[in-house]
Amino acid sequence: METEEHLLALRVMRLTRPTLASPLPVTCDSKDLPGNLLNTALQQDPTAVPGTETLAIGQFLLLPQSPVNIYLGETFSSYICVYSETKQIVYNINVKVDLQTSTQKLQLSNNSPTPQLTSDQTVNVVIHHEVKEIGTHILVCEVSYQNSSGLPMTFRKFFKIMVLKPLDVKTKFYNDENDDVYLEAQVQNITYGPICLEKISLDTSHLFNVKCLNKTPNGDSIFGKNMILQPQSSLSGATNIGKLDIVWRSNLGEKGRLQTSQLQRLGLDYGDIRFSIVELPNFVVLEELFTFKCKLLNNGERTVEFILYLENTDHIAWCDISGRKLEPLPPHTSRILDFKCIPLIPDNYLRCAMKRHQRY
Amino acid sequence: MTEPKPPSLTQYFGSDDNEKTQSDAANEILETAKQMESLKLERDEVVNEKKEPAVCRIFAETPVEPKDPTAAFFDLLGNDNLKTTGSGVITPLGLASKTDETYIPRVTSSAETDRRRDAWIPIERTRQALIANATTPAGTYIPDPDLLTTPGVLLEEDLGDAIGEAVSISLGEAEAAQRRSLGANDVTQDERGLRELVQAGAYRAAINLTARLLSIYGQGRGRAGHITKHSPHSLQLWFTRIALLVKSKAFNIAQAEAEPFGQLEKPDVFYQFYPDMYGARTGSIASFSFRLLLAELPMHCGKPKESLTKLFSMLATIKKMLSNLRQGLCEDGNPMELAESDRTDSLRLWSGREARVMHSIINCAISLKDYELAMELLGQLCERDGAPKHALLSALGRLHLQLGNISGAEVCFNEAAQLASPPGVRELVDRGLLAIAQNDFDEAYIYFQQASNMEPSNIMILNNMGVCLLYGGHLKEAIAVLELAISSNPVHALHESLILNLCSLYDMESSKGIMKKFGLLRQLSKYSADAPTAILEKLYGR
Repeated sequence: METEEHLLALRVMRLTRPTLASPLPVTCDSKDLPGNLLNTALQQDPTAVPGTETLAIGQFLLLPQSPVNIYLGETFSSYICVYSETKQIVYNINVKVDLQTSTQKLQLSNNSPTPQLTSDQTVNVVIHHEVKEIGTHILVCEVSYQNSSGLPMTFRKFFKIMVLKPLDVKTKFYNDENDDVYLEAQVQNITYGPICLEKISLDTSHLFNVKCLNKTPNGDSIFGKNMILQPQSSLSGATNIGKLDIVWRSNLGEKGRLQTSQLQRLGLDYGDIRFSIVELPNFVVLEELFTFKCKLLNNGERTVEFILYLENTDHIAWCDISGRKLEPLPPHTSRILDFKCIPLIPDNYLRCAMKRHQRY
Repeated sequence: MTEPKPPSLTQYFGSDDNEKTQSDAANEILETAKQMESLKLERDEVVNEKKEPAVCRIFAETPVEPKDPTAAFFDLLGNDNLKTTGSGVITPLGLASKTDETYIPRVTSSAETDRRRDAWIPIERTRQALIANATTPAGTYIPDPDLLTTPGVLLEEDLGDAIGEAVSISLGEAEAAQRRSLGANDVTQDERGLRELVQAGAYRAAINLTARLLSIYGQGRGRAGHITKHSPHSLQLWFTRIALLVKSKAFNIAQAEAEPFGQLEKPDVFYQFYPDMYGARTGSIASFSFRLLLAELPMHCGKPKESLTKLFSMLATIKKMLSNLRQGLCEDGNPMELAESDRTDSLRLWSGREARVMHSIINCAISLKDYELAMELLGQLCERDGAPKHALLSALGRLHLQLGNISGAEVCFNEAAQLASPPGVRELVDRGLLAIAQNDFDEAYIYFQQASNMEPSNIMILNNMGVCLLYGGHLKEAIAVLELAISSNPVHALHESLILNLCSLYDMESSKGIMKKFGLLRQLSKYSADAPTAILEKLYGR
């Protein structure tokens, strides 16, 4: 471009994490024609690890050789090197690095000027920036300096970077009768390589208590030793639930972090009256009395009166008085009711009916 | 030169630590033994060509034994690395006192080690063909053409001196003329010459020589598809050729030339197919290394899944052989009497080979990015008796790092460090890599520097220090460290990975990068006999 007329030039290298180089293991028995020669060559290979030469898991750091994608939430790092193309001494070199996104311009570096630069010196700038937008970014490097006669000069170089989306997050809500809301988040890796999810948590608003369901009681992850974690967090409460915070790492610890936007959920409309089972034995013996407990909740604004009807079926016989009037239930209160009954035939369900009598 | 290290590869072939020191001496003797063997094999060729029935006895390979009493020793070395078990204690000392009394057991031991080394269970179709071959009168059995292995050299022309060509393109004919490298014509046209080329690293020249030697067997250029006979020597030539093609990264040629061999499952690569030549000898004529190389080949050509299938099939056969041995049978399931010490040796050899195949499967899983499979197998390897657990745990830790699982890596490295005390170079380098994963290149540099103090000539450590310097913004220092690595040990440091790193740095540093790369090429021309084409193009391209 315009470099010919300038005394300085600029190179940029993206600093993604290095990879680990390893040898190409070709071995033979000493009885084979090449004798031990191939084994010896493998041992002398600097990328081979003594003791595990035949494993392609080396310790030799290899600089990134081909452009690697950058994903939202990762840190964009680059090495910017300004070097002299002339024998003359150049003065007051200033390197300014900006990142232009579709919405804003961010200043990444603006070091204090280097007083002078001889022909074999360089100005080195390393920048780091966590990318927070998807789409085209432009790295703008502006170098200003004065030539030997003091004339100010400036040139710019542009580098285009595409930021891709790394994860696809889908959330689903489930609710049970006990006021708990379950959140299932499906996190799909849409990058080209495997990633390791380091953390997924739900940063909730103050309205919620969260319990993570991804660990067994002794602290092990339910997803095995490594690999992808999918969160399932149980919540209780209403509308603004919170954000999912996801941290992942890929090659040699390359880190990325994403937060979802606020997860919204409309409060469930339970109506004025809720009736739910709170305690029920898992197994009951045929023709033996058992008890269970139910909770009756008045969520309305008025006191409510109830009449309890028990209907015998082929399956079950109640041990209680049907048609009895319950104590009035004031607004926003609940009461636990005990029921007794005898199962008559082996079966696995229970039917119970209740009529509400409201007094206005 | 690096200090003489014990050949740690031996652990995959079942050696104990205290025996390692003995192998170095053995390596020296090996060369002479090989020379003798090549003479022997040449003699076999002559015999074969004349089709004299003189060799149709049970120990078809043993007549020359008296000339080479060391052969038995090397059989044992090859298989078991000088293990000292009950019968026939064979050590380098025993070798020096080659008395007649000890000679006789060695002959039997040689037949036994041959049998052990070559054992293999043929696939069902091959087994049927071999039975048909054995039960029909000699010369009347005509197998299906697709049961025959018909290889031929496919490369139309000899490979040139790649470095010399690169030099003449970039630096001019005059400099190219100064290059002195070993060619196929500079050595004796036999196995010994071939080894000389391989030792010098002149892989392309060695490949050219294999083509010439194979034409003696009627398997040279243009012979693919023609019916031919196989012998241990011809298959060893093929193994060497394909191994060197792989090492030169000429994967597609290797793949094409290896194609007729399949997975070495056809009847004509088993000794039973040639009863008039090998008598009652059974097993695979092709070596285990060749079989493994062929199974790995698709992986290098971008077809790792194909390799995975082949490697797992090899592993299944080896497991079957081990189970046969444990049940009191021979490797291939024949109910033949084995001496107890021979059985122990066989179990040791084949479980070593089992581990070696598992290593290849791990490599294949890594190239498929199937880290779970790789970790599973590494875990299994750790559980094996006598496994180098610290080295394997360290590898497992690096696998975790590659995936990005830092806490998992740390657990492995800690466990490995507890097993290796005091912490050596490997542990320090692993710590450094962990620091890099945590984005702390300065701390990583300190670890690498500590490691470098322990092994100042270690190229890998110097390289890693250079990489850390770059990430810390010190380009010039990074270049200086890598250049130091090369100047202190040019023969080994002019490795393609190091050259790639240095080229990246030169490109960054100034517009004079190309001149510096030419400088590297000049050094390569001086110190190396051969280099893969890709890296040479990197040096003179653009």
